[in-house]
Amino acid sequence: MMIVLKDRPLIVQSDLIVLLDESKPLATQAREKLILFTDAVKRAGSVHTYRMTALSLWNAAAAGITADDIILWLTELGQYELPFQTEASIRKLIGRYGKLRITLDDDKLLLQGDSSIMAELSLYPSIMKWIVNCLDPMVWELQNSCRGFFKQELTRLGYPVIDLAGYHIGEMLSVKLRTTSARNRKFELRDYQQAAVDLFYKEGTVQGGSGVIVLPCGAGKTIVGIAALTRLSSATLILTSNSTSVKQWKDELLDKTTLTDSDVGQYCGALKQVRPVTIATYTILTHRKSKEGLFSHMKLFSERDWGLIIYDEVHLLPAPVFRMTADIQATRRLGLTATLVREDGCAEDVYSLIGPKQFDMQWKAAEAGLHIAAVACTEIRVPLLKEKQPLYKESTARAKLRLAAENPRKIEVVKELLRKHAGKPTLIIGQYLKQLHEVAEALGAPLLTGEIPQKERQQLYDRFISGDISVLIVSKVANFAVDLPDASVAIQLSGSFGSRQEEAQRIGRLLRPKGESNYAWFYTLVTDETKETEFAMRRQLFMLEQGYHYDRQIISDRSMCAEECAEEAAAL
Amino acid sequence: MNIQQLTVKLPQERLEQFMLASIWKFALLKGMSWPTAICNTQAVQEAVQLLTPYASDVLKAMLREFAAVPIEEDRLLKEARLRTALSGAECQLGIDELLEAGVLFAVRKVWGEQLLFIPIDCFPVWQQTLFPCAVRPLSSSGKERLMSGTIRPFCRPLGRQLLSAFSVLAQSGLELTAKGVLAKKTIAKLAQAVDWDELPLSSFRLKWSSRDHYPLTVAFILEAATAFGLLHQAEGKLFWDEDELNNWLKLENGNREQQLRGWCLELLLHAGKSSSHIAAALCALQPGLWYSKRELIEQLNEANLNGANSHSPVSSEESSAPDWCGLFHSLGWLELVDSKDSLGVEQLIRWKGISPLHEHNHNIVLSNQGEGYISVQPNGEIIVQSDCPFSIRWELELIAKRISDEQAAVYRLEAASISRALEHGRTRAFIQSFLQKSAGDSAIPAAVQALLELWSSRSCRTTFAEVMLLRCDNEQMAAYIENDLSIEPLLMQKLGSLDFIVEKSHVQLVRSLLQQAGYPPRKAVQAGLDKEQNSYPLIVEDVFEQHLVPHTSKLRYNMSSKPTYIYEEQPLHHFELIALPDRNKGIPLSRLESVPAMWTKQLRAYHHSTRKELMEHALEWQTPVQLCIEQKLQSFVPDLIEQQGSGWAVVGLLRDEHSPNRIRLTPDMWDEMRLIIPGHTEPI
Repeated sequence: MMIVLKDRPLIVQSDLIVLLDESKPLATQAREKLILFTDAVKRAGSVHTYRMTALSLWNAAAAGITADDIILWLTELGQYELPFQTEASIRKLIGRYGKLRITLDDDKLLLQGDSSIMAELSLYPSIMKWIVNCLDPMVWELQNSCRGFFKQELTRLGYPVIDLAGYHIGEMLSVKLRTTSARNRKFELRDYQQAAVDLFYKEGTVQGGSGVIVLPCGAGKTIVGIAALTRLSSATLILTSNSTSVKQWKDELLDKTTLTDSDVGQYCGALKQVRPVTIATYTILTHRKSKEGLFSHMKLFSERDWGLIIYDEVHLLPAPVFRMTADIQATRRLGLTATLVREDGCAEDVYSLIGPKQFDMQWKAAEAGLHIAAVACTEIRVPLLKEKQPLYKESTARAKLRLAAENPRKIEVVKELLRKHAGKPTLIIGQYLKQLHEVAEALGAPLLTGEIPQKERQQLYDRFISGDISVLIVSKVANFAVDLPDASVAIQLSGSFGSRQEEAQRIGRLLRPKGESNYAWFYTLVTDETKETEFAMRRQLFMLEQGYHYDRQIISDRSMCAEECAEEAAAL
Repeated sequence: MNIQQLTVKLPQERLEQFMLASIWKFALLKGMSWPTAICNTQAVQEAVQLLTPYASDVLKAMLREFAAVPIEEDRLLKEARLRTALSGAECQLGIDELLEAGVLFAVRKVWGEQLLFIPIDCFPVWQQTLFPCAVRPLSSSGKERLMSGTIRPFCRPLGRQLLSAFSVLAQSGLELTAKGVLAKKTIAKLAQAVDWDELPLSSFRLKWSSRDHYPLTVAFILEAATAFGLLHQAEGKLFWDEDELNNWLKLENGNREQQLRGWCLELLLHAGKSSSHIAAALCALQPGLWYSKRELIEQLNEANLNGANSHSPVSSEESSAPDWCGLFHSLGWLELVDSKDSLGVEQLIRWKGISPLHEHNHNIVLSNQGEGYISVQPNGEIIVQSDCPFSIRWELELIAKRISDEQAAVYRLEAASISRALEHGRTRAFIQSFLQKSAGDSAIPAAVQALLELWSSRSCRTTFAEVMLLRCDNEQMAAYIENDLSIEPLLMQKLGSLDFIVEKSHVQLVRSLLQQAGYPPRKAVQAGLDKEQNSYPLIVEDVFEQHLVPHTSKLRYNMSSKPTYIYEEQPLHHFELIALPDRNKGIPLSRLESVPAMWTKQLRAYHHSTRKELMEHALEWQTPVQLCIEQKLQSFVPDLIEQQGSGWAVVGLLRDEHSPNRIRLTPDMWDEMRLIIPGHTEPI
């Protein structure tokens, strides 16, 4: 006989997947627990998907959560009896956490652990090659240089190790957070930012000092990084994904801390400044002249006595940087990201080389806490002009998509939306330059493409920020330009096929909190009854899985014709 | 042969006669009929108490030695003589009693040989009543072994696995090749539709038809479909019996698993031979508690149950022995952990809460009333509750892709699955309505509605008819085709506003042109009969009309008359069931009258030659004698008279108070004697 308690919110599967039914009374309580030991996989509709992994469980164990805690929560909140496989896996994985420790004793790097686990490890040649001396069955001396590689290998084999070998302090740096920013705004850390920094720093003990902080887009990851830097007050190397981001980091450092321009170096493109705080891109670090050549810029890791390395967008960290990071395990390391999920399966390397997850905040929780804006997503289906329909039918698949994307009738809808949100900072984003030029002409609004020089671009940004212009038309440069100013409305005219990531990045433009009315609007214009609807659906999946939903408006051919006639009449 | 088959074969009066046997005294008082009493645990326990020692000993000997396997009467008598202290006549009397009470049955084989058998579905309950296995659950220290062991992966309950397989079969079509078997592709899909590992099943050394074409797994699936009457073969074709399929899908989940367990045991108990004791002992374990299979085997060994020895987990023969634990795990009823220790690999086992161990095994669902069985998510995923009726799952298997299936199942609507559903005659309106009703009338998320609209807007918009009529779904579509410069020349004539006649040889060309134009026509060619267009049986409409109340039913599967895929180890139903009145009961009166009455009535001291004469009669009639040895009355079953010159001796079994003892007696070793006639004289 099996008892099913349908009022409870969790369904736990033997493959460590946990489904959370948000419609159940105890859902909030369950969500608060799940965040402690699972990774959120999908949040679409009322049933959300979470997954327990070795890493998520070790991350939980690192935070002091026991297997009994997890099993009790899953049992008390589960609709069904907890599968035995699940209980056994949780006990087995968490049971391994804390059994192995790396310590430093009189400059000797030691591995200490239960004799049973040490006996298991002795069977692995990949482990034993690092052992210099077996001092006793529970204490082995390691090669001093192997700290990172050794941790990496242990994690790969399923044996988490706690690194208590400590850190060197690095070059001291006098730096503080400002209470009033350089731009003369009041500045203080938000509660969750403070909590994230505290969890990372852990009073400066060997228990802290390395790990990853997960925050949604727009929730202030840069601020957390800066706060960690000021807390440690040591020379810091910041690695980030692109040169625009380098500049943004520098601006924020100068705005929010007591650092001066001469303290902060940029290491990308033509600039090769190595200063007490240096910001570099992953691209420059992994640059080499030939495929077999050396990564000449990796020397940056040793050019100063860094006390902290910050890995921004840690989910994008390239493999060569991992290898370099393995060598610098005595330096404090902070990873920042919006998602720990990596497409390349290197999540284990993040865990072993950067450190366990120290803090995680859900997108929807951030929205509920007004830390990011609440975005309303709408898909508007626009009919294709009758005259274009025969052409559409005869076109190839690729040309069909282009025709649908560039449907001239979208311009009318854009105008209508601009009337609706008049005065609100609005970005109009598109894929095809021809279409964007037409829209710019029709609206009399400035167009920003990749061809616009940086200086001119900055002027446009400034005018947009100051409210001098409320509409900015942007090409796909918006996908990457992290310096793109915040907007309240985004209208997507067209996109590149079914890229979910692109849609999320574009919506990310709207996520920064909006003050009193914390709302933003995202519109995606799609030509009805064409291939474009199919791609639009695919693009929306990522956001659907993050718990967002799209309203759908279908504009009929008749109403469109009526409007067009009215406009023509008005023009006459 | 099972109870159901016997009930069909036997006249009603015979069934009623069974209940007049003294062993069913209490069951009769409770108003039970024979088909109920014979496999009811309590009724069987009470009946065993009321069996005569002859019947009890014979039955024990039979089950101990042959488990559920039917046995020739002569061989049973021989084994019973060897294994018990009974005389031949006593054994015969015991067999007669069991036949009269409907515990055993006899069939006559072609050459007149008689086979005795216990109804196959009664075997576990009688075995466990006669040889209760008192293995204890794992202690807390034993449970530590669980955590360090290797847990076998989750398998869905057999019913759900078969549902997937039947769905695959319905989707792929039932057409047979010239060799009379399913298409290779269908066979491959069927084999992948289930979770089970074929090894445990193959350990039973079953034989099956079309072995060159069907792997055992597929034969097992087809056998199940046939046994439950869902699939028929006629004139070289397979057909769904939609009424039976409907009934099977609408069964209450616990009831269905119960029926499947019964069917499996019937199929495999004979093939399992003496290992069937393990199956019966396993079936007696408490669900939800962990046990050691090794301890269970030890218990069976202690009870001298033949065959248990050879199935010790540490035995080298383990790999070749029928693997009941592996089988029950594969069928989704048992959890299994392989734990290594110094003696080898120990199997730790636990019946799941959903295992069909008991007659009334239902899930208790504590829920808010009015909730649906499924929840449709905006990304097209469908979360399915464990109590979701099979009739809904059947439809889900068609319209969505199964992502996972455990306590809750997750399906996902996809373009391909919707296209497949359209191929099988479903419409967007139907799918939408089905999802909404299954979700307790909750609205379908707008995103899903849009996806459905999108996915259903292109596939199957057009249909080819066998008359080579190109049929459009609306006038717009027809106008498009008419205006298409590449298609228009291929249209011979327009019929009405929607149809065009197309030359048969142009069908493929028109099809590819439509496909290129982004309007792929329906793959299937309309054959004229609506029935054939909808080859995937539609169950759910009917279910909603009945408010989705699952029903229970008596066992409905059939092991006999229909063509089978897996050959039965003992096809008893092919043989003639022997009527009870034809049997000889005991020793005929005429033979008893041929000896002096005092030989049976009184203990007397006879001359040695008369003693020999008495012993010879006892040997001929296979009866015991009563001897007075050193002023103590003892029963003796003679086996053999030895002639030694002028003297003689008798070898036989001396049944004293403690234990029977094989002994050789010379006539001077007892004082008085008499013949004991079982059934006429009180048992000693």
